[in-house]
Amino acid sequence: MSHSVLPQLKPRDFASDQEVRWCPGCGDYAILKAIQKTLADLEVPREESVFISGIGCSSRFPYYMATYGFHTIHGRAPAVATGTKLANPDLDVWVITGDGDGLSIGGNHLVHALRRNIDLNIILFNNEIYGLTKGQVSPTSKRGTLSPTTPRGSVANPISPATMALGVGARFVARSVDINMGHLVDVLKQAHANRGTSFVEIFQNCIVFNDATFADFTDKAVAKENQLLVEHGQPLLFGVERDRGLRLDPATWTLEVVRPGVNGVTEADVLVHDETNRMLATMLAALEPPGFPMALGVLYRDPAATFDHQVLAQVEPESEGRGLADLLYGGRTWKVG
Amino acid sequence: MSTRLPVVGDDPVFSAEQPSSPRVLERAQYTVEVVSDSGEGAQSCGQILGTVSAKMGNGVWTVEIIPAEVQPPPRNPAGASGNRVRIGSGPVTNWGDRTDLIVAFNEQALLARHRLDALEPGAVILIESMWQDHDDEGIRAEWSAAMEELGAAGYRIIHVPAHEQCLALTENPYLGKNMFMLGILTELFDRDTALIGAQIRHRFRKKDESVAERSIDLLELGIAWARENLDFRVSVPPVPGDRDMVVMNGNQAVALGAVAAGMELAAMYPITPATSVSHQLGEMFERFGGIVHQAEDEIAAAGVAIGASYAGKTAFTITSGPGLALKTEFLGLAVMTETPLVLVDVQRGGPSTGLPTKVEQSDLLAAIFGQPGDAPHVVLAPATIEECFHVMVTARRIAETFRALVIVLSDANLATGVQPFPRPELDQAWIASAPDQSPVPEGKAPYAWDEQTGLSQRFIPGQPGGMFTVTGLAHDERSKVAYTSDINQWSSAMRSRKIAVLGQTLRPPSLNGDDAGDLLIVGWGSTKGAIEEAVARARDEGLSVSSLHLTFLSPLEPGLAEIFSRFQKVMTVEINYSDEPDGPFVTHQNRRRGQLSWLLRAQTLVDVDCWTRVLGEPLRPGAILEVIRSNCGAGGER
Ligand SMILES: Cc1ncc(C[n+]2csc(CCOP(=O)(O)OP(=O)(O)O)c2C)c(N)n1
Ligand code: SF4
Ligand SMILES: [Mg+2]
Repeated sequence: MSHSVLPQLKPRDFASDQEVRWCPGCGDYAILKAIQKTLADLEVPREESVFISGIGCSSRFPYYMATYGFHTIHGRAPAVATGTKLANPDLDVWVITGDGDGLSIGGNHLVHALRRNIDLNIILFNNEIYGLTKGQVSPTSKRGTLSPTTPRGSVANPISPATMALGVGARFVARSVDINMGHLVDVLKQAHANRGTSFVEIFQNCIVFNDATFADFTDKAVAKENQLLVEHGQPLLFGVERDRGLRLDPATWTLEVVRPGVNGVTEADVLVHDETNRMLATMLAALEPPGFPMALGVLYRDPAATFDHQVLAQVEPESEGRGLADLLYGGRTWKVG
Repeated sequence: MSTRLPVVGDDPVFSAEQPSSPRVLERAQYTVEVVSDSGEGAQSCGQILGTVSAKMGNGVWTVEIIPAEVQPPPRNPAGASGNRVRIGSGPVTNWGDRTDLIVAFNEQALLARHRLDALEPGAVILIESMWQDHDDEGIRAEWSAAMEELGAAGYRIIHVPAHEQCLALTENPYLGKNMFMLGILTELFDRDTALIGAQIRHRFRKKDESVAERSIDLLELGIAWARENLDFRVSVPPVPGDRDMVVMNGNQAVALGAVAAGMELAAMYPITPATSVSHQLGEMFERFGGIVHQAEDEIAAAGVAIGASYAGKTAFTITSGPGLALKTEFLGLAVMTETPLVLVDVQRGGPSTGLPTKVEQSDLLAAIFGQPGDAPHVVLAPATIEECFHVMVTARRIAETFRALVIVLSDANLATGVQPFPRPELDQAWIASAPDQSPVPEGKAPYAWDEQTGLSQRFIPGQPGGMFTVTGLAHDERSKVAYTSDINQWSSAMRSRKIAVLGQTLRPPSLNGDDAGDLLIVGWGSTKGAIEEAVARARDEGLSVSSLHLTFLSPLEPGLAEIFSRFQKVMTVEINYSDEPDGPFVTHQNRRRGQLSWLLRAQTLVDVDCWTRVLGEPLRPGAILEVIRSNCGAGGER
């Protein structure tokens, strides 16, 4: 890639000529803008980016990108993306999935992509609902969600996508919010820079079937108060005045919210984010309002050898077809007579 | 009965007293089985006998006798594990009817074969005799009961004190007895000991040298014992030929064929009897730049192959029936997006988990029609081990040329059967040429279908100017989602037309036998050898029968209705289930027929009858001969 000779691309250069067909007000629009901006900022050649999706409102995403795209089948995009990356490791391969697509029907494939650490950027649009099929509960829906298939309220516990990803051995786990453009672009760039599976959960508002499900930390009025924007090496402080922080309670091995300067708590008591600490990331991923902030940003990053790199390193082709002749004409062959 | 040569049963052919000048039986064909408990190595014993016989110029066909479990309980009829080796002077195309000689490591495995009617009347039995005087009273009782049952059947039973003999060389005869037994067979069939030794060394090449050495010592012990104690030898003189030959089983042939075809990625999930293709590839594929990817399930395996093909590599996926079921949605995606894909289905018994290790041809209709929606694609079936090799080249070429899904139907009989065949002369043209990655001219669409052929050029990620999103949704030439009905009608026609074009390039099948007559047998896949042997025997009896074997099942080979019109009666012979025509509640209309006959009736409007069996074993030529006898001159099924 010779970046210097490429004409400077704008976000709109990454927009296809297809009419965008999400509902007005859907959070997917903001994510589309953020990804187009990310790619423009990164100056990636359009023909070397591939967006591979499953099925769902979110999975319509590739149509709107002026890159290569593959709108596959429900839940299985990680499998197709794995084949694509193994076939051509020079490609930038993105997987676009939803909470139903990635965690219900496609849970198996997501788990195995994460544990293999193949070099993909997996972006999960979590709206805690099945959008495309008109509002049924999803694996991330909160208990008690009223939906056409759970008219008396859902009774199953939701999956926490980030916790699950950490549990199955993901090496890069991050979170952001559809409308936090600056933060989202920053997280996406870090995901892109990471070699291996980068897993990004984006809280995405489905205005039609699950409006305001994330309001307790995304509403303008409470966002600053209830979002903890983690950064490696920085103290885990949050709040409008950044006056609250997280401390480890040694008695219970849990996180607690403290105010430095109050009750003898000092700045030094506040944990410093260490993105290579899987234990800490797992505790952060589990926090939610009320009582705790929602942790956003790169929760965990600890790069390791990628699947594609290791697999391809084992492949050592011999010269043009000779080897097969040896196989067939060597020990196996004899003349009868 | 002599003590030195324990022979039970009376046999007019043999004299039990003359081991020093053994009688030599000259035969054009001879069939041997070796059976043991799983893990005792009867299979490798049979395999080595088969391979060496092939190398000595004999025709050979071997069939594995496989229990469903890895370690079934010992001394259990259901656990019999081993091999049948049919050796001929000329080419051998199938496993035959029954075995002439069987080597059994215990009487229960032997009993299993007897009860499956696998033994010729008067067959020679070489049975490990250690169980006769076993400490365990129960085992002694089982032995006596078995001997009574077998004795009544009139076999010639020869006791072999293999365990006792092997104790001289090894503390644990359970590992190594197979080499002693191989020694007996080596002597009986006068096999080339240098070739046998080389095979043994090859088999143990990854183990310590002492393992091969001890095996060869045990082999020699078996040879010596046979020399001392057996009063007969079998001679199946090979007919010399001048062609270079190779010997392998069908799964090895598929693997080597995939390499010869320039395949670059094999995605799979372990399933019997398909798995060994990937084992075979695992040993060599990376040397040719290939990757074996074991996916998390069969669905993912199909997805990985599609993803790789989308990105410009030639990819295939290997499975068996249950895996084929799981892959169906992805097969539809391959058809809809016109992404080249080869799927090899090594069929086993079904439905559901069915008969995992046994042969069946029950996936034909699922392979052709199993994908919801209209999903035109190609289905072909190799009929021999040699064809298992070449079919991969054909399948890959069709997939690439037609941007199509190609399903290859092998089966457990081909997968594990070992047969020699002329060495393929590799051709560089078999290898896929790298896809065109030059910039896409402006305005060119990703599905610029040629109206005459339905063909179009695909774009590969990385190719400048080809940035489109391909989709499983109905779409137009520019891959835009079809929101009007005429687009779907048109794109469906284009996908179907490709297959019609392929059909036009096929030749009518050739007939085995006369061009017209009383009866035409139609087959597909691994039954070819058995059918043709049965037809040959029937024609020797003066019956007016011919046969025809189909390789292309979808699209069908042309000219069938015309060929069928020249015969009084047409019937298929297949290894899948069909109702008997006179079964309870069965009518001519509602009879569930063999899968190929179902297809042929629909496509030719000829009243094609069928005879099918699902016995968990390959068809026996003798059984097909019976069917021919009773159907010659019988007219159509009415
Ligand atoms: C095999 C299969 N089953 C069911 C469907 C129907 N379906 C389409 S999208 C979807 C759920 C999508 O939910 P999610 O992944 O959360 O995406 P969203 O629409 O919310 O973005 C379902 C069940 C399908 N397309 N394929
Ligand atoms: S249904 Fe919900 S997720 Fe789907 S497009 Fe509409 S707002 Fe967006
Ligand atoms: Mg959703």
